[in-house]
Amino acid sequence: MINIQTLKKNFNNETVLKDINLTISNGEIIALLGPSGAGKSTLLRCLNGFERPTSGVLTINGQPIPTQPKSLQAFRKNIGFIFQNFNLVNRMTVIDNALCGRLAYTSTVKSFFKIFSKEDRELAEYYLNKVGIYEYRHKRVDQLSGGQRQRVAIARSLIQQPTILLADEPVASLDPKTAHSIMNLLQRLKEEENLTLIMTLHHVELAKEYAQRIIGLNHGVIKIDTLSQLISVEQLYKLYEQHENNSEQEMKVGELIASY
Amino acid sequence: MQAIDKKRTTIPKILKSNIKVLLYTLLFMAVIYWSAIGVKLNVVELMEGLPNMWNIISSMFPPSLANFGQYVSSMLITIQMSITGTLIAIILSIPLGIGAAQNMSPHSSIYRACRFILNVIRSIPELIVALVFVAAVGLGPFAGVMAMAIHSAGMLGKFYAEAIENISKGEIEALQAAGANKIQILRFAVWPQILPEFIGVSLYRWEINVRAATVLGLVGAGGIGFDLLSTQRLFKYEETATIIILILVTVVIMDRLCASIRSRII
Repeated sequence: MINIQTLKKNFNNETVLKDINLTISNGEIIALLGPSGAGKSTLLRCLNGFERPTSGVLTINGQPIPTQPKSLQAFRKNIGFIFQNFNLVNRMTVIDNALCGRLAYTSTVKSFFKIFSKEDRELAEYYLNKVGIYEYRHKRVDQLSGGQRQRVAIARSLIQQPTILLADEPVASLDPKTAHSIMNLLQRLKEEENLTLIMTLHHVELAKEYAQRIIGLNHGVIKIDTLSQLISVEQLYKLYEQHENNSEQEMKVGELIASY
Repeated sequence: MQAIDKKRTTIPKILKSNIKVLLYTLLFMAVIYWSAIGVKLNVVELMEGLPNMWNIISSMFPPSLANFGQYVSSMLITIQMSITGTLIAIILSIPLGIGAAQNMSPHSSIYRACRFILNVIRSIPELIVALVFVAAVGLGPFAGVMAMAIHSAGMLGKFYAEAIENISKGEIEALQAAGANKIQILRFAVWPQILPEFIGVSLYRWEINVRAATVLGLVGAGGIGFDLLSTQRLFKYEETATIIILILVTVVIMDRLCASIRSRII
């Protein structure tokens, strides 16, 4: 269970998350929606300790997120993370990439020489088979398509044997058909592996189709928190309109672009 | 109307930029003139010196094969120096490079210290380092190897650090998310990404070191450079020619060898 109370997050005096109160039970599929800059990625990244809340309480199964590196590494075994850009090491093979998910279970010396136990290798093959990429296991990642790469990344996170899977825009870099096949895969794996699945999405339709619960954020505040069957796509679109009317936010986006 | 306005405003601009170009050109020429005066550049003297130069070159022919065996073994020592020196440099520069890479350095004070060390050892010329080592460990290839290693480590460390800083952050983050520690991240996210650059830069440094090893011999640090100097001092120009040809052939072979290794790995 994930419990968040009065969570606030600032980036250099700019408030990204204002006052987040949220309880997530085991086994839920949650979609975080909201316009760019609403804070959905930041919220997701708080859950595995990539970002530290400025104030407030965040516990996972009653435990706060450790700050000491060793215990943080152990804590992260339990939480898988999937990225929009897959973040695979392109010059390594599929199976070596998948085995990276076992690093927290492997001693530093052994991993330095790329020695993984037989069980770990079998686990990697098992999950590569499960995500449908087994036959490519000895290929280098840069020879695969986007959808195939995301499958490898999913296998890498599952091999950690997590109970929580976080996905930051998992299908934003993929074409619509591949996006659906990846979403189906995530949905299936969530059932088979008893995961809690939390993902940020920017497609309202995908959220409605695949998530059980939808959380809508705007300006760092939760505006919508409901079961997806109880809300229509039109109502969800309103979340984005609020953003367009707000000139202050527009300005911030402008500044952000200018700062690049 | 608008077009005419534009023209009126741009003409002075063009003039202005032309004057600027003219001024910079004059300044540039003045600097060149100043430098040429300083080094007493004199074409007439050069022309007058040509017969002398011809004398030296003609006395080099035909290259003599006396002591050829000795020079080949000196050349081999020079190559051995370059290999050992480059290897020691790589070993020294890996920790320095990691420490001097902002994204992988364990601490900001270590980062600054590594940067400083790299800058210092890079800016001291090899020959100076060699003189220090010759004084410390005596004449011979070992002093040359150490000088080469120290100087090369400065360059290699800087290049490794830059290669590490240029890798994409995503892969590091992915491994952090999987609970990997810093050494594991270096091994699985950093190393595969910098490997092509690591090999390329190291080979390039080896090529340079083959030539550097020759020059180091001139200050008594062993190898073919030492023979080059002594034959010249004894006016055995035919043998000097043999040595020069030997060096040329070696450098060309090294060049080819490195190119083929590089194309095979990268």
